[in-house]
Amino acid sequence: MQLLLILLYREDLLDEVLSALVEMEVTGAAVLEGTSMEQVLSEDIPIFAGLLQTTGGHGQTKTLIAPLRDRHLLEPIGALFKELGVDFADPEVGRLFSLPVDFYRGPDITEER
Amino acid sequence: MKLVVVAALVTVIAILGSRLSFTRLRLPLGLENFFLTGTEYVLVGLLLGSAALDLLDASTLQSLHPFMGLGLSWIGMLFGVQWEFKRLRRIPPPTFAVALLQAVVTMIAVALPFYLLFRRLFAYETDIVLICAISLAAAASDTGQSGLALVTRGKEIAKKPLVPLLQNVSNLDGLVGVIAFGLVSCLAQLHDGTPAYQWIGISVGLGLTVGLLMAALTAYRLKEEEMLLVVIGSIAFGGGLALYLNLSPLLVNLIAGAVVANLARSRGQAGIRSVLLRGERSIYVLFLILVGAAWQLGSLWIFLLAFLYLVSRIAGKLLGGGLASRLFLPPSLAAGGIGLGLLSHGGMALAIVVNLHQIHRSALTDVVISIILLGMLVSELIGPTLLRRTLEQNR
Repeated sequence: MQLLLILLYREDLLDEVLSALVEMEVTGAAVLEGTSMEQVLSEDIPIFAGLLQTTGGHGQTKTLIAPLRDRHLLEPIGALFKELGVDFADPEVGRLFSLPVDFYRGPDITEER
Repeated sequence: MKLVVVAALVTVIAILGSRLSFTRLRLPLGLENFFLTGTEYVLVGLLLGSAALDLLDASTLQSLHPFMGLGLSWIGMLFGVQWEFKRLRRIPPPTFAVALLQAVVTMIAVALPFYLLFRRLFAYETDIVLICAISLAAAASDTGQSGLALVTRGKEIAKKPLVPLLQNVSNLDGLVGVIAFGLVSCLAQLHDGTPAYQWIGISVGLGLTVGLLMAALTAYRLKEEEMLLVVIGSIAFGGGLALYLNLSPLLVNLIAGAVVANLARSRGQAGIRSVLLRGERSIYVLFLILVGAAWQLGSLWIFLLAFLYLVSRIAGKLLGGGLASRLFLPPSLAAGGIGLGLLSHGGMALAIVVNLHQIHRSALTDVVISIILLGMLVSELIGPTLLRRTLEQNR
């Protein structure tokens, strides 16, 4: 079992990422809002768009966490992402990685399919 | 030929300037703020204008008006797409009341003396004098964010509880000025006697139409270049029609932006914001240059009027900030008022006077531009120091 982690820097691609996960029968993902490191360190002074910065409408990242029953699903998920225009080879899109899980309690996801 | 060369030159300066400027330099606080806000480009414009090199002469500036209209529309929409009600709930409700009240009081404090003064000094119709006085007041009510960022970023003072309040107020109060200006641009004098309410209705209707059109178009998955096309097409349509009808492209596109922020799909919203943000600085630099080039100081009396403007604006901010603090904030947060922390001039002030120049041009609008530019120069120099003092006094 794996923990799938996606750092998505482009908010506009969230729908595609979620659709791909659903298509691959990866469910139960959590979507967290965050701020990119560049945004925190940035010394940019907004001229007209200060409200976007303070209300979190710009420079935000989405972090998706999902349990993945089989690490062999990673390749097809990556291919489906690319097919839908979410290419993680592009550094501005985000990062995708997984971690092995040594403890899990919850619905039996190995039998979902 | 001259127009093409000058347009290319100004575009290159704007693009390079947006990348090279707006950076922090080790200078005294006021001067650092001056360069941080890109105000030096007003002086670049002055150099390129008829006052010195005469590259940007009156006829060339006239030919560049469509660019200015596109810029105004861009700014209006960028300001509008921030007003997503779901996200605005993160701001404490009293902050809205503080921002609104201090902006309205500042507007009154500036509009009233200048309306009386303009009536005595200029022989224009009452409505034109009113439009100019309210435009000046609308520009005065806006607060810039650079001073606060300069004084607080990376410093211990940023932890003061007053900082988020001042930040939010300076982000919100531009709305009052844009709406006030948008409404006076509907006055009958500018529209051959047709009642103002009709033009207010047309402004709102046009904004809603453009916003709904954008929300519908961006419901589909678009590539980046397609998104750019939708944004430029929409703002050119909304802004162009607004200028053709002598309305405010700022207000029309602000409404369109707010519709997009609340009705478009999140994917469309993010794409539109991203496109608009990419052009923010280049357009602002372009504005600073073109306004600087069009700047005609006229007589030395302007300095006296600019001084009066500064005094009335500071009085308005102090009175409005003090009143709002007393009515809506706990005494522990802002016992001494917040007015001195809101003196930096915002970019929206410049957009408002550029818009005024587009819908009505006369000796009076030249005076309004001069007053605002001189007011901006002085405010950028003194604003951060007074802001720091306000924050130091805050417990």
